[in-house]
Amino acid sequence: MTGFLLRRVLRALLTIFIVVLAAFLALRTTSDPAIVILGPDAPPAAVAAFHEAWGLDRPLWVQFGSYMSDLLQGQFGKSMLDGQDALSKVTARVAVTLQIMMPALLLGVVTGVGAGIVAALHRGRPLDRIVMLGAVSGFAVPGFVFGLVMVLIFAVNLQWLPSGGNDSWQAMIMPILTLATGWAAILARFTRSAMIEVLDQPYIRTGSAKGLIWREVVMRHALPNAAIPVITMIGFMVGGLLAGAVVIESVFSWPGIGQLIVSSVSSRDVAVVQCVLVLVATTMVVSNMIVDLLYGWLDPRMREAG
Amino acid sequence: MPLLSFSDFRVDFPRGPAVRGIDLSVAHGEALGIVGESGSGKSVTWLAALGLLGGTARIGGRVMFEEHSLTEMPPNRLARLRGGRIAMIFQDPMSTLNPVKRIGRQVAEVLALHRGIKGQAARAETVRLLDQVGIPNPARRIDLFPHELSGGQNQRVAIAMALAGQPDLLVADEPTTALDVTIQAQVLTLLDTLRRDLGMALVLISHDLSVVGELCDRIAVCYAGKIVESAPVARILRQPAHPYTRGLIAAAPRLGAGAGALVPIHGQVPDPWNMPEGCAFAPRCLHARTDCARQPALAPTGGADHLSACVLSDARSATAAHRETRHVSA
Repeated sequence: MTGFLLRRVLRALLTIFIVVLAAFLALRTTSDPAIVILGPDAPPAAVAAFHEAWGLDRPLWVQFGSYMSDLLQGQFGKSMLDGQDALSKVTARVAVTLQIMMPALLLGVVTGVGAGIVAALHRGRPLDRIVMLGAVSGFAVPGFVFGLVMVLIFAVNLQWLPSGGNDSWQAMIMPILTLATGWAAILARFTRSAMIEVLDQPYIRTGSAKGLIWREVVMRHALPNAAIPVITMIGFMVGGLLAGAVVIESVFSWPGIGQLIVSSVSSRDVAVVQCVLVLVATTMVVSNMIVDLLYGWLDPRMREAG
Repeated sequence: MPLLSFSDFRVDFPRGPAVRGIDLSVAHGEALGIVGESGSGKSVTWLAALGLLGGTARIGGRVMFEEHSLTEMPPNRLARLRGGRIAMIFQDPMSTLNPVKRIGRQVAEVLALHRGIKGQAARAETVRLLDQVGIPNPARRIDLFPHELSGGQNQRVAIAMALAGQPDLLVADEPTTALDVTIQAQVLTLLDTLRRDLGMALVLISHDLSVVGELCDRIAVCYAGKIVESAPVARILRQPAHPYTRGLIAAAPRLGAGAGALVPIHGQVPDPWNMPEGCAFAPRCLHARTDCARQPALAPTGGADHLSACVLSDARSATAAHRETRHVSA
């Protein structure tokens, strides 16, 4: 078990390192932050001074080396735009993003998994058809379209809700609903097929043959088995939470991490972009690791295989 | 009063009938074998009677368990009868146990449900049951998962689970089909010993006449959703009355009989949606006559406990037909 854990952690660190290296190279070689930040008409002396101040005149590998050694000490560098600490700038925005992500995830998981279970238990009957129709539409319509349609109806026409920003709790409703709909749709379909597969297994009939009534069979024997693939799916969703913020925050002008990524990439604010990327990669890797550990807990057959 | 009896029991699926009127009873402590090809309705009969078939099946006729009518019982009451007074075990032991639960917990679940035994007492009783079904070192194995045991051991766990409710009737649906021959014999011997020791009735469903012949007092032969013959084991194996039973016996492989000793029954079981008029076996029968077009009733032939559903079933024509069979197969 410890060996397994150690291998997983080393692999996770390697993944994060590759992400950092790729991001670093991509950002430093495609354009010059000095030109972007100071403007194309900036005098050469100012550009040179900027280069020297941020160490951009040194060879690329030296820059990367010093960046990495800062990183290992927990230093993500300063924003080239306003000199603020990149990490604190990013964490402040992460908190704003989580304000809509967490309730949306909770709502999406509860409704999606619930709807999937209900559909599987009513397989082939009208309730199943209705739930699946909803899930397929929710899955087929992209989040930004759904979001914009909601803005049109509830903000523009009915004027019940603000169209964007994060000034009031009402502003959270539409982004949360948009995110939750997409997740619920995916999870409903996924949970339904996982449940249907499990319900067809002989051990379900054994549960009934033991004397359990149907509800008990579902709770004790079907759900624990169906949970295994569903947990994986939720793990992927949690891993993609921060990365997925870009689109939804643009639609609802929610000032979270997604907006920060967009603005700092276009202004070549290298330290901030890299801080965000490290954070995104870390959440992705960590949630995958947690899923792997949960696997072993949920499915004893995986314990030796790990 | 018989322990359990079917009268004119029927099961219909949307695609056609699977069981087409069965009359059968099981006495207390009796070992009854049900034999037939796949699709003959031999398993469906029992699954349907115990409420283990899915929603698309429609059930007709009556099943009485002592004075209780299983066919009229509310589903949740019927559920509590299963695993208690009537237990059932199934074919594939690797998939009949829940892969994510320890075997001990799966056995103890029955103890809690039907005998109210919990905690340490349940653990002790589970160890005793596992020991009874021949699991070596049960105190250690109790915490294993099904994938950590062999197929034969899993079937023993399934039997322990069935015994946990102290049943009066154990229905074993092809319990050894998925096992190796040597393990097969062990499991059959175990079932036989347990039945005698515990005095429960056993219904052994199998496609294998030799398996059933070894263990049972009486055999009922199923064909296309009906019982075509039933009689005490010695009688049916020695003097089968129905051409289908004779065909089954002739088709069974015997060791040492030499090559070419197998006599297959030609043709196939008719599809449920395409049942012939009258006797369902007639299209495959070597003795088919014009009056096979009417449905023969299950009637005594040479003794009150030997029933056969064939127009040839009076003793004289049966013997004649038997001679003819030999002639044809020679």
